Amino acid sequence: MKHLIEFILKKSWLVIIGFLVVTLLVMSGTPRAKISDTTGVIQPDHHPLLTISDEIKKTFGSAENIIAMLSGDIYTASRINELRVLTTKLESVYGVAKVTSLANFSKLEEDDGFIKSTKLFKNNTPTSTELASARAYIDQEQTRLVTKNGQNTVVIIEMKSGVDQQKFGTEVSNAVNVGWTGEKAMAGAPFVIAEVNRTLVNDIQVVGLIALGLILLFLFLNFASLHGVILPLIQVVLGLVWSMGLYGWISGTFGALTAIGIIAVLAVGSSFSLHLLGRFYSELLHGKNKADALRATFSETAQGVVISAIAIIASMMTLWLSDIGTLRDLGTLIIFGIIGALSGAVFLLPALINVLPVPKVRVKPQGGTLTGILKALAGYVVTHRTLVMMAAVGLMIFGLIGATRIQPNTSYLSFFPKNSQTVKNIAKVDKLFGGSSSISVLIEGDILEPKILKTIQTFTTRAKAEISGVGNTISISDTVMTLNHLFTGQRQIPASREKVAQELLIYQSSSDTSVITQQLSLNQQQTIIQVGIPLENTSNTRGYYNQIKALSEEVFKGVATVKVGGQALSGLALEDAMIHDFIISLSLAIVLVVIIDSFVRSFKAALVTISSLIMTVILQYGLLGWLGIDLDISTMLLGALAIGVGDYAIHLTVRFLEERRLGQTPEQALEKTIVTSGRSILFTALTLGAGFAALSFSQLQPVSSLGQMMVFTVLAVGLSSLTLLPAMCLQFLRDPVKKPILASSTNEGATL
Amino acid sequence: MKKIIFSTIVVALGALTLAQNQSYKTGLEVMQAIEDRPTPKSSIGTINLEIGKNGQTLSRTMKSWASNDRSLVKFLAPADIKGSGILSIKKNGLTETLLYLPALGRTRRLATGGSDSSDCDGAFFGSDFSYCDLGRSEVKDFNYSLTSSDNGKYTIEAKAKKNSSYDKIIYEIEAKTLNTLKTDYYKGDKVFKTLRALEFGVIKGYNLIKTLSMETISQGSKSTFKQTAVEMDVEIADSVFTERFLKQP
Repeated sequence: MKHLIEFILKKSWLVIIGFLVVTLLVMSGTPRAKISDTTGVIQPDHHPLLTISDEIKKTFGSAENIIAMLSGDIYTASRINELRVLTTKLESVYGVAKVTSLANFSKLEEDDGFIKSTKLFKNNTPTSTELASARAYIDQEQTRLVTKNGQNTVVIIEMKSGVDQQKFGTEVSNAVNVGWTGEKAMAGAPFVIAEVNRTLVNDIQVVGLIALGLILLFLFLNFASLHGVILPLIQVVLGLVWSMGLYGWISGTFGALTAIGIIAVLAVGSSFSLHLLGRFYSELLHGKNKADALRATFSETAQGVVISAIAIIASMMTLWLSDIGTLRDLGTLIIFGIIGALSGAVFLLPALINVLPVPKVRVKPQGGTLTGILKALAGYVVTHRTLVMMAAVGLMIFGLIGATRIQPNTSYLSFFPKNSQTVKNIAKVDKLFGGSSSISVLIEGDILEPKILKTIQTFTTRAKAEISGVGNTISISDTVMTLNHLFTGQRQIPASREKVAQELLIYQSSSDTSVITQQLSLNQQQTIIQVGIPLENTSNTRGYYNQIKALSEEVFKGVATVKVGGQALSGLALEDAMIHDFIISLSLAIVLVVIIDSFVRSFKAALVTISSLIMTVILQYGLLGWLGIDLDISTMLLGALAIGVGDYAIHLTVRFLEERRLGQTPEQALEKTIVTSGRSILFTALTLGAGFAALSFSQLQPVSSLGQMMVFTVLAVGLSSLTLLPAMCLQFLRDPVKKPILASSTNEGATL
Repeated sequence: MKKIIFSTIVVALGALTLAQNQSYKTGLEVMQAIEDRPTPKSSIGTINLEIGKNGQTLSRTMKSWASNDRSLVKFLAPADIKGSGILSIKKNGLTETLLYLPALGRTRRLATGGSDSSDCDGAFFGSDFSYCDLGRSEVKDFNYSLTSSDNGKYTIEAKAKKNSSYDKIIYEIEAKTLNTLKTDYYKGDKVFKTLRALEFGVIKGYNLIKTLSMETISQGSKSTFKQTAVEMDVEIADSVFTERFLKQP
């Protein structure tokens, strides 16, 4: 560091220009980054449920569709015509494989000895007789395309495999909004994903600007100078530029969690400047000239900043072990940002300070109300350290109990506030049309055998009767029974395999065969039963999955083999992977931070510091449970983020050990530490808190929840660093450390 | 637009005479020359229809008899549909189709085919071929433009004058034989399906496409239609095109 700062002092302009050139090169990679377009991005790479779902998708086509519910008096000529125009329009929209609506619905019927497949509505403006006849047919066949009262109808828009899901969702949504003059509501994974992505783009801009504004406000409050705001601003903006640019160079994908990465970079990056500038101003106040103040700052405080950055990077690297691509990407994005912010802090910041005029320093760390409060706090901790530690134990117990109440939830529905229009619309579709989501039961055997077809019928009947919430079911048995009714007048499964095969053969020669190919594999050895369920939280979905799996295994025992998969279960796969990742990343982050801190301080000091952080993490997750906030893909990051960004607490431990090595008694050392380092720790907490508070403005519920919880976390880490950690230092670190630690400061006003 | 009766299945695909050494200036001229070629009065053949998708296949074998506006198709395999058959007879512009399912033991009348394109959109026994694809187009129903005549091939773009299953059809025709080698069927500006003639043969002076495939691009499925034991211009007794013969095993 000493050689580096001397070089920077001598070649400041060269460093500035060099840094800007490198930044431009890095920035040129930004356009290579992509915005995620599929649900698959937020799901684990491997999971048995996903394997089954992929098998189903490969054989029976994409299960993804959008359900558009349209309201109005459906059985009128004008509405049918409007629906026909909309249906035709939707058929030409990007990514649409098939559109099913009342307007293009075909019926298979017997007419005077003929078997005919005809459109339900032949004319653009159907007569009242035709409308009445169609209504009678729909009611009789229970197609569920229209509600019984005729006031709501659905259009099912199936998505082709492998298309841009976001584009599909957006364009379908636009077409429906333009093409239907009445009330409408939409549901289905592609629609939800399109909504999430639309919000995401908006979020990155809005939340990023709010975060930047809040961080700058707290920097101004801390330093009370433009110099103290502009320099960190340049440094964090460059950190972001590096983050985006490097991410682009590796062709990274921006997903639903990108906003979290951006805020983390802004907040953590600004904390680097805060420590460095704080120390620099402090050195100036104590009479040093600009160059000497920079030398003191970068030969001592910079080491702490570098170690903190390494700790955060290590903490984020644990996300690379995740099976979820989005989390790995988030870890990479933050790591790149931290590298950029750290480079800016270590290279650009001192060079800029050196070429700029000496700033006027208005804040005196040794005076004012804040110092008085910190002194009083130090006095309280010295005299009541046992009480402080007991209170911490009490809070830990409170947190542990709360943690047992945590509910995981990775449903896409959880991305939206419970009272949002999107959630209300999906609930409406679920209620009126028996589920916008579905679980698929894959049956393997000689499907055309009447025994299997009858068992399928038994299963669907029992599923609807025994599993509360199950809506419509679709199976090959329904089609076979309809055909048999047409041929024989009896709505039942035919008695022989030949009858089934021959009726299906004729159906294939006279009707839309996609109905068959979506239900029966070409080799007739596989079929799926679609079981409609409402789109709810993953806990409820898991309940449906367990019940459907148990029932299918019971019913098909000895008849056929069954596997359960389907689009609705991707949330369960994500949840399983998330909980696994959560445990791994949090525990590994703790171990890594202890190891990294131990390199420059002592293992005991690192352990004491991390203990206070762990207490905060427990309280954090406890609060999650007590407040009923879901553990989701965002809030699972709380622990690793807290351990990473909360590492600034170690500055207090180091300062305490320095004071002890200088011969102060433990009590004197503690008071001096809280008064000197306390200010930086407090403002670091406030600045980080302000940055993460911006996430609360996100329209995506998990990001917003994470923001709120991170505000609590960084403030709790700050409070813990000024109360519990000092108490633990007094208790466990009374003896001076023998091992050499960071170079001690002889300057009373120095802060880390 | 298309005359969709089962009698056209074998004939339309196979009845192509050897072309004259003549060059054509317009797309209409080429298509008219193809339509004007003599066609056999009758045919008998065995058809193997193989449908493939995602590594799975379904094979169906049937025997067909066709004479003028009458046709009979009987399934030979697989076993569960063996004996099923369809008899189509066109009378006074209307097509009557009789369907026989041995498992049910009786015949039914089936309303398939007609003069409207919407009636021939249906898939031919679950394959990628629609009845429209297997029928013969009438030249007068389309506008043609010759887009290229290089390398011994004519490339012709056809657009239907009235309603059609497709927005555009592009034919690739061998100039020497007037055999259609490849046909791209468009929906909007994208190729929806592609028909390829894979194997040719000559029987009694008629060019016969022995094997052809149809690929549905968006679904990744492909069907192959293979004709064997084809006989042309043979005498077929009227008794073949009867309900009684239809029901015979």
